[in-house]
Parts: sequence; structure tokens; C-alpha cells
Amino acid sequence: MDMASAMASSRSVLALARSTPSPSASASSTSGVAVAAAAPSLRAVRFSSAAAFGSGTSWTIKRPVLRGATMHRVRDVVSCSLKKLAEVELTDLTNNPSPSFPAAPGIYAVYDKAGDLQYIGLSRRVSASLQSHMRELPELCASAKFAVVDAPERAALTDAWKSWMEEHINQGGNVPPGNVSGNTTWTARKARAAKPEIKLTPGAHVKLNVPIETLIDKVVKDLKVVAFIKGTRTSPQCGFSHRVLTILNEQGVDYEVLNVLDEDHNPGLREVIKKYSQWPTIPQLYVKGEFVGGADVLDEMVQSGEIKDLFKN
Amino acid sequence: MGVTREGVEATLTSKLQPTYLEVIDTSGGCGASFAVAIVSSAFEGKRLLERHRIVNTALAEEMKSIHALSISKALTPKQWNDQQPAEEQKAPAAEVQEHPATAVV
Repeated sequence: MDMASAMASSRSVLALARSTPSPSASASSTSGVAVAAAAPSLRAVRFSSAAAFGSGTSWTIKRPVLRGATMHRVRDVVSCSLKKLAEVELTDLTNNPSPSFPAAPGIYAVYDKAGDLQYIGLSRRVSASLQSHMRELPELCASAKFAVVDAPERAALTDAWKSWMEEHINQGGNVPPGNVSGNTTWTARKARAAKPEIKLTPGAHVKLNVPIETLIDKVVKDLKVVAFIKGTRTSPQCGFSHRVLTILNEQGVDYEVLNVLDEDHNPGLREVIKKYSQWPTIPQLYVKGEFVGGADVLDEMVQSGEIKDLFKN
Repeated sequence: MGVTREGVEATLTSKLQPTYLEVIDTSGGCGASFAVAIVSSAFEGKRLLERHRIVNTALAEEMKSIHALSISKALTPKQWNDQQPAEEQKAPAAEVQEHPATAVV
């Protein structure tokens, strides 16, 4: 589940909009904070990022610096020049079969064929989220806007997301249907669509009549794309397994998953697969019967462009 | 005694004679996981998967104790040299500038 899903499932967007103080209220609150007589100073640190905010823009964080005096801490003030939703270029999804999205943290907005805003999301990997939505909800994904947020922290992503949501509402728009509290269109369907993992045995109560190596070999050779990971498709248990799943989802391939941690159904798989491939780590990806590698190999293939050839035919 | 960054460096240096090697302990110093970037002529003519196998094989003993190994780069010297000018010209994603302290009144 990406962060947008977490936001949609846990908080009311309307409440968020109402709870955000107005600029004047924020200023009033700041000016009302008491400080010691020996006024401490603030150090300003400016971050400049063309990728996130366009050429020449910047955002500044001001933090208090204590110098020989106790003071009441002023809430950190983050001033952001994130490009406005209205100013971001629209990317067509219908007539562009392979749109280019940033594999980076950011926010995005999805529009239907009528040009109505359907959903504003945030993600640690914008490309993965948008590719997923296009695959799961093609009827609602005609075009999109996105912006990279260099700071991957949840707070920064949330602030950026709030900024776009507030802008849309202040411009007279309604809360996008996908963001309305209780609407799980953009999250539940993905969960329902998740394929079950392959299990090598019916359960711990069944003894194998054939070596597990034989079962592995059959799975690898009979299926086109197979990933041996720690965890499940919807709940990977390590970062490397998550990376492999993310890449596979981005590529839009149909693939199978085996959970090496499921000792009940895949006894001994975690160690046997390492001997089978002569590869010491998990996850491991096999394509058309051939071992491809782990997360690092896939990452490099994505960067070099080889990944596209891997899944051809 | 667990695996150390110095130990991993020594092993890779001895077995692969790299022209560039960077080893980072990503487990906070306890030797459970490492990230490696390596440049070596041992990778000449080798495909990506084979290069990773070469590194894994070189660290076979260490791998018995390592929980995770990430190989971010496995390049030939030529590939490394070709990459340097391009990476140097790439603007940094974020730039930090200090400003004079400002008093709050």
C-alpha cells in the first residue's frame, strides 16, 4: 500500500482541509510565541531543487538556535514553493502507451476522460503508483499531473499533498471522488486483484513425495515470470523483495510469487532456492526458466534499459 | 566477531584487484548488511548477473554471516571512466546553503 492509500484510509480529507490554519492565523500564532529576553537567533537553511520545484525555486526551513537562553520552541515553519496543481503540465495517459513517470517520491493527480479530477495521491515512488492505477483503473485514468518532492519524509509528502488538495478545493472544486472518506476505489480494488502466492505443498501436514528441488524446477520452467521473495505480493517483508515487486509492477508483467518465509506450505524453500540458483540472497527472479538475479540486478537493468527486453514475448 | 567493512574491503581487494571500491556498512556497524560499489577488470566481458556472481563468490565466506548484500555498481574500468564526466555534469538533486542567523523579535 502506498502512502496515498494510507492517507485515504485513515483520515478525512475534509477534516484535513478544515484543520489547516489560514496564513494569517499561522502568522498570528507565530507572532504570539513568547521568547526570552536574550532573543535567540534562527538559522535559515535553504534547499534548492529544480526537479521538485522548477528552475530557481526553493523552500526554507527555519529552526531555532539556542544561545545562552531558554526559550519556548517555535514550531518549525516550512515555506514551500511547490509548483501549483494548476501550473503542472498534464500528461496524457490514453494515447501514450508508455508515459514516463519519475521513480521518485512525490504527489500526483489523476483525471478521467472528461477532465474531472478523480484522485490526488502521494507516493514514495510516483511511477509505481501511477502505473498501478493505470493498470487497475484504466477507465478513470485518462491523464495525470505529478510533481517530485525531494524530501521523502512523510511530513513533506503530506504537506505537498495538502497543498494540492487545498488549491483544488479553494478553486471551487469538490474533493476528488477517490479521496472522499470511505471511498476505497483506489485502494481496495488493488487489494482484491492481488494474485495468491504459489504454494509448493497443501500444508505442513502433507509429506512431500518428491524433492522440493523438483517442485522448484517445475515452477521455474513452467511459468514465465516467477519471483521468490520474503513475504507476499501485498506484504513483502524486506526492502529488497519490495523493490523487485515494485519493478515488476512498473513493467506491468504478469508474474507469480513464492513466499520463502511460508514454512508451512514451502518447507525449506528459503535455503533450497539458494542452492538451486547458486545465488546467496533472497529475492530471486526467474524469467522463462532462467535466473535473472536479485533486486540490485533488476535495478541496474531498469537504469540501463535492459529490463524492457527481459519481458518481451 | 562479525564481518567488518574492513574485512569485506580486504577480501574484495585481494580477490578482484579493484581500481575503485566502496564498501558501506548499512547495518549501523554491526556487520549484518553491506552496500558495495566496485570497479574491476575482472568484469571485462561479463554480463551483469555474472558480475554479481563474481562478487558473491569472492565474499562466499563473509556471506555466511551477512544478512544482506547490495551491489550498487559492478563496472569495468572503462565503464567507470565513461560514467564519471556524465555524473560530474549532473546537477545535484538538492543544494544546501547556509544563511546568516536571523533574530526573532
